[in-house]
Amino acid sequence: MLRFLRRTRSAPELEPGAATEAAHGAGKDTDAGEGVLTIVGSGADAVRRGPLPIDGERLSLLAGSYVEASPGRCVQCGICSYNCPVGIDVRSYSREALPVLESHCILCGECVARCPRGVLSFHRPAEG
Amino acid sequence: MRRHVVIGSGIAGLSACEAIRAADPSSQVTMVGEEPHPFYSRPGLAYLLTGSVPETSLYLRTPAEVAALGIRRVHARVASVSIDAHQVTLEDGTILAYDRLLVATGAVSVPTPFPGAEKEGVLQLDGLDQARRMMKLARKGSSAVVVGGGSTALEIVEGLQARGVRTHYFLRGDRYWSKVLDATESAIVEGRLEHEGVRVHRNTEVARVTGNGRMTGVVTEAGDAVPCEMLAVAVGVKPRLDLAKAAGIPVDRGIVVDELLQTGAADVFAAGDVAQVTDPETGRAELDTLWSSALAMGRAAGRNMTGAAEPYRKAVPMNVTRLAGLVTTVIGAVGGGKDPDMVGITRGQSEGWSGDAAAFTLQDRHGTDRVRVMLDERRVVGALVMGSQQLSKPLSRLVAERTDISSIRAECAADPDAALQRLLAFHDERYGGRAPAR
Repeated sequence: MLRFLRRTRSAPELEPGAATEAAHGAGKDTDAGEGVLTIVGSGADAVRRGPLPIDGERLSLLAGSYVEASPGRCVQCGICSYNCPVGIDVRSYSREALPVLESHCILCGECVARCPRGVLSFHRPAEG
Repeated sequence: MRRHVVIGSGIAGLSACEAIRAADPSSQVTMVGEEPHPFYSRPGLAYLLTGSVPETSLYLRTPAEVAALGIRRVHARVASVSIDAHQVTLEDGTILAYDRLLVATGAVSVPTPFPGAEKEGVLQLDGLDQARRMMKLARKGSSAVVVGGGSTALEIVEGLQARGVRTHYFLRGDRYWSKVLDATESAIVEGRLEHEGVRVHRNTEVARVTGNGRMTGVVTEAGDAVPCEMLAVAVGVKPRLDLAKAAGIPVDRGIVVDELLQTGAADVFAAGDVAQVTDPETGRAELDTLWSSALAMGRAAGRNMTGAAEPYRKAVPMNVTRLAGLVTTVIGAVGGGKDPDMVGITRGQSEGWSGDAAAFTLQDRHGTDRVRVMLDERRVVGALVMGSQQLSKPLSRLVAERTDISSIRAECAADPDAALQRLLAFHDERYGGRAPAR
């Protein structure tokens, strides 16, 4: 199989500064992983799955971040929805040009990483 | 009650039906299409071929959404249109009367340019049926030859290779997609294909297909025999004009439409790959086969069929395609010249990408990431972003807004290595936003 066609499970790359900022933020705003679960929201799946492995990058993303789409790049192929581990129909958000503001979203990055056209990205509060 | 008939079940037809329904909940909407499938993403066939997504995920609307749309779908081939009688006649003789008609018949592959194309195993990729056929023939360990250029040919190459097919890719010229890519970009794509085991044959043409009934291989113009079970041909597409021509609807290279997407025939509109729109900026009549254009045109045509008078404004032609695994965005005018591999344009291409303005190229290379920016005297006229897509957004904006960059142009020209950074800083000063890290 082609190397570049193989599915990768890795999250999309973050910019170098993100991890440091996030680690810093973690010390300031939260004292335990439980607090993070509250941020994830009331999603049944998230609760059932138990605490997520939280590192600095993930924490930075979780705090007020979400997945957003550039609809002009999207051809509605459905790879995003197909790969979402919690069953969010990401494609419909892209179709309506809406941010993926779903309490179930665990910001795992599967849709962002797998979209073949670079439609999806993380919106981070710092980006304004 | 107004009767709307839409011919074509692609994205232009679907978005037109949705726009009609939104504006006029009580009208009658009938869609005639030749494909018996649910609405699906045509560009998504590329990812179906590579196995990245199952067929059902390509379906664009849930059954509930289709039901809520309240359209009558007819699976049939249209025999003729009478513009005087306002009637569509289907092949079985059924007559559909209309008050407003939309022709959204799309584009079809140009015929295979060599003898033997009728043999079993010779394929073109126009729709889901052909994609299914291709996947059925793409058995591990079998061999295939792919002929053509542009994004469709490469989608087939990548799909077959991913399925373990020994894939030969024939280029008539000496490099890939010379109409859009520059020599370095072509080399990047070809190098990645070869690295993954695709056999790229340059300056190679099929002379004929061998075998009786079922193909057994091809013979090249140079006389070399290449045994294979499949030959996929993607040398371009052209608008499907037969119906419009026979009906007397004025056509040029596509169906000629005005800014409201009305054709020269009363109450007949056209949208999508079949429509030929004049760009108000350049005055040029251009074809494109972009999903985003077809969607926008269908939406506009649908609204205008219900009585709105909203001009369709052609957006800067932009598309994203995956070339040998590299996400590539093409924005505005980036290329030119001839492409010996193509008879028509490929799916997902715009004639608006051809630019002949005095422009120069700025390059920034980091491994496989590459950005090419085309500048004329006052503005950024086009860009090609390969690999990392961080720069797509700011560059799209500079092109779309026709931002005057003449104040920094001399600086860019003097130091091309720093020009991209300068351009991004200029974008951020002008529109805000953080400069993406490089």
